[in-house]
Amino acid sequence: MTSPPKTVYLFGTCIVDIFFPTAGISAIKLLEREGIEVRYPQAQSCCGQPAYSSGYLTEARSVAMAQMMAFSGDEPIVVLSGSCAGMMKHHYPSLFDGLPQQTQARAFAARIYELTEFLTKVLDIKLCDLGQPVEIALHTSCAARREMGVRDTSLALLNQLDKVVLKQHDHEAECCGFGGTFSVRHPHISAAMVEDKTSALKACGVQQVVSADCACLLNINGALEKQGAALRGQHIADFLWQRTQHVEAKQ
Amino acid sequence: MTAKTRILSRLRAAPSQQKAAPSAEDYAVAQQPWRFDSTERTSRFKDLLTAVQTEIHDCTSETWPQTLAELAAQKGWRNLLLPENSPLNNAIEQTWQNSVSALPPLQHYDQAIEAWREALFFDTDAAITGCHAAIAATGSIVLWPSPSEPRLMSLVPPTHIVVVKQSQLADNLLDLMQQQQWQQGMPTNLVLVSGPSKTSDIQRVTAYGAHGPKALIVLFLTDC
Amino acid sequence: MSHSHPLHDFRAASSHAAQDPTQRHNTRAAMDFLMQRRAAQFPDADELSRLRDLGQRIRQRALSRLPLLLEQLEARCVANGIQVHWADTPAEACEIVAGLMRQANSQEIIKGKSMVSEEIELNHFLEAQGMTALESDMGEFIVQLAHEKPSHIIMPAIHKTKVDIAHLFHDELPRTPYTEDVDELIQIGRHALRQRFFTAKVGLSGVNVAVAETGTLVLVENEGNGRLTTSAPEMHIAITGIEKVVEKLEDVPPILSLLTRSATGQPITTYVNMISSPRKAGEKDGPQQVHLVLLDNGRSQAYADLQLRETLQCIRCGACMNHCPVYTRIGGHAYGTTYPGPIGKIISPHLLGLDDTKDLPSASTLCGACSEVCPVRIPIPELLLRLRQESVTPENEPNHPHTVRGQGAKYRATEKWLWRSWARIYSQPVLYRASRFAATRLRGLLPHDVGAWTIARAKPQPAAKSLHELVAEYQATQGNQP
Repeated sequence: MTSPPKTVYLFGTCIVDIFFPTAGISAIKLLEREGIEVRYPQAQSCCGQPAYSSGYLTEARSVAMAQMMAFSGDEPIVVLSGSCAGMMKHHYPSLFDGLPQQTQARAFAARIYELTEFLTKVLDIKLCDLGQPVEIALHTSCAARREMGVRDTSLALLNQLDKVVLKQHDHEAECCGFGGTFSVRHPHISAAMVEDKTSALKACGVQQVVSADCACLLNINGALEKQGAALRGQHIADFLWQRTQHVEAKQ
Repeated sequence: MTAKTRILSRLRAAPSQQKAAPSAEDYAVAQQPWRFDSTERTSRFKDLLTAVQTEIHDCTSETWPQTLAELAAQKGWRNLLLPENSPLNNAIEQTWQNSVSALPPLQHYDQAIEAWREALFFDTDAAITGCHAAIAATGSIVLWPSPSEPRLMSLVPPTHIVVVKQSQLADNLLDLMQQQQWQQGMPTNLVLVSGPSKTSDIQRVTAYGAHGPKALIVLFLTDC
Repeated sequence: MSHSHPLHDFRAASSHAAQDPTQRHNTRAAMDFLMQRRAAQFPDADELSRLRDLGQRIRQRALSRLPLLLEQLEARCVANGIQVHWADTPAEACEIVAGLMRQANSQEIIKGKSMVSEEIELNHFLEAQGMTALESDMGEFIVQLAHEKPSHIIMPAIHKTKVDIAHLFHDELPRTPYTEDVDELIQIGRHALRQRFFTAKVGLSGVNVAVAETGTLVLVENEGNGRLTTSAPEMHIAITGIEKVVEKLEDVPPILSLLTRSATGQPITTYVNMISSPRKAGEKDGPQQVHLVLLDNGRSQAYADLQLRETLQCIRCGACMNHCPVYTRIGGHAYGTTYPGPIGKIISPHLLGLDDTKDLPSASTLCGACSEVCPVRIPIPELLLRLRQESVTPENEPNHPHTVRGQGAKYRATEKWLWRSWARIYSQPVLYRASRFAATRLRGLLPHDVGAWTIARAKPQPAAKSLHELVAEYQATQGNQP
């Protein structure tokens, strides 16, 4: 393994920005603890996926262009979501296919890492579990699982925590039903999917759900809350930071 | 313009994108994992067929007609249909002649279907055929119907008995097809049979004897 | 094509189906069964991956030479004595079949399983001509008896329980006692259909693979009805889409292996039936005539575009629907198309036009479960994305080749304006900051019910401060530290 970079960029994603901002701070602290300088461009917004997956390529391009400009340079870009990372890594090159920005898009795509992928594969991070024993379930987003292939890296991180018991839930590989605008375009299908996902999570008897994708968490937590369940999902960055935080770091 | 001209002209107007044919190395995935030593080959063939309710009897080139006679008596077939002229026929006919107990009458598929359609469809209980080859990978019997062994023999009667020689066992379909150069001349109808007729169309429950034979019996000749 | 039914409302039908607990339970159980069966057939991930590569190569190679291979197929078939007919539209295909039936002097046709015959609505067409089509596949027979359509391309009656079928047989078949015993039910079906096979003069089947090299039609099945349909009547009509052709006979084994293992989790089906000619002189049975009908019906539209062409790689195994979380929730009928599930969403717009299918491409989370199992590696989510683009691109858009019938079917000026505004906000930091500020500071003002989202979820709660703000604050504190 080549030596890890000294500096990285963090791409927070629009959903983390508005709904799960602490995950971004946790990720920064995790990275900084490994001796890495983290830059967070204030000009960042969204990867453009909502427009892209709705068929509006022109609109997706202008948002994608803004991100490519906000993250100039050649440092790695660590992304707090498998889905947004997949968009930037796998879809930006085709989005600009045949356009002047194609080379730029390819170079940009090559810099993209999903957070858990970066922590394990680039940093080879070693975690020491300082938390109380807990049973959790992991929900891996479809893009993280299939497009980015980073389910294993989430697992590898959680497996380092010796007081965390990871439990399987029924149909674990199945989509939670979010799907961006799908959730409002086809609300009853989406509702049926999240109903089954949350039932499976509740049935496996864990105290907490962990995921590396906040779009899924927005969906899953929203459903759990509506059902009056106590169970909630948390971004893996928050979960890892909270369990490995040294006492002196808290002071 | 005919439909053919319209369709082909649209296809020809489409952008062309040449794609290379897969290489022999690519096809190897349909062959290499499915090659067996002689013990495995036989056991796999039998296991797969047995798993789908095929009855398999180990015999020799000497004993199989006797096994057939015992089955005929035991299963209570009203009759047994033979090919018109097959190497199998002599042995069966002799065994039948020499039998002390009563055996079902032998019939031969010696005229075109139009002449005896009703009898075949409603009054024929069992038929026996040979086979062209057999396949270990999938537990299949290769039927290569001929004027002597017409295709309905293995399909319409409720029981189909087939004589398979151990030496006829190939590893997998692609090997067999290539060894025998099937592309040089395909028969009217070539059939792979891998068990008795079945269906799972009602609530996923497997039931045998949907439209084809309810019973498939293999007389497996271990000495040839 | 002439629709025999009013335009199907996918949104209404799928919403209804998703809220039907019995339907959900039954479909889930059936899909779980099929997923487990498939998984058991592929214990070796490397073998599966290489086999899928081969399947993809075989299909892409064949498609790259499609016009040539179709001509070769025709020439070989004709040399073998099989008569070949070409149909551009469902109406033409129906006419060809009806004409052949008249030629055989038969008012009735017995059918093996054929999704293309469903696609052209043959049964309906023949009924209107005073002719009869009788389904002989057990699942299709059940569905026909119930005056329904198949809900799955491999298991047509998968939406029905044995109790449903017990009642159906008892009510619809003469002198049939009520029984829930599956063996007995199948024997009832066998008995009813055996008589019809005996009398049928014309049999119609689909085709799983057509081999250009030898002029061979390959059909897979378990029941034997396919063999009976193609062997017992004096005339056999095979009908297939033009994309089903492969180059060589040696392409058949890998395609079969992918097909049967992916579809029902069988190492092979009970019967693989390869037909290369009608009855030859001296042969005692088999049809005197074999006809092959090659149907386009929009396939050449998909073919005209190199990306959309990948749709035609499909070998119709149904694994995509078995693994689809949307299909699992709504079942096959909600789609309102001959081919449901993920493959239906990408092929139906070519068969029917986007006007009639505009809600299908959006009915996916793009989760990729389908492409993960597709035996010929069709990138279904990417094709869905492409069809979404076609749906919202107006017909008069400059520099956009008009390839898909019904392009722009979902285009609305207001929606376009919304996305334009969205793009403006998200590409300009100042506007994005303002909208973020509004979302976090005005979060108390969000209505409690935000429409579709709150059907199953509490309203989303923005954090008090955005990550942008927290980072700025955090960096300030870090900077202040000595």
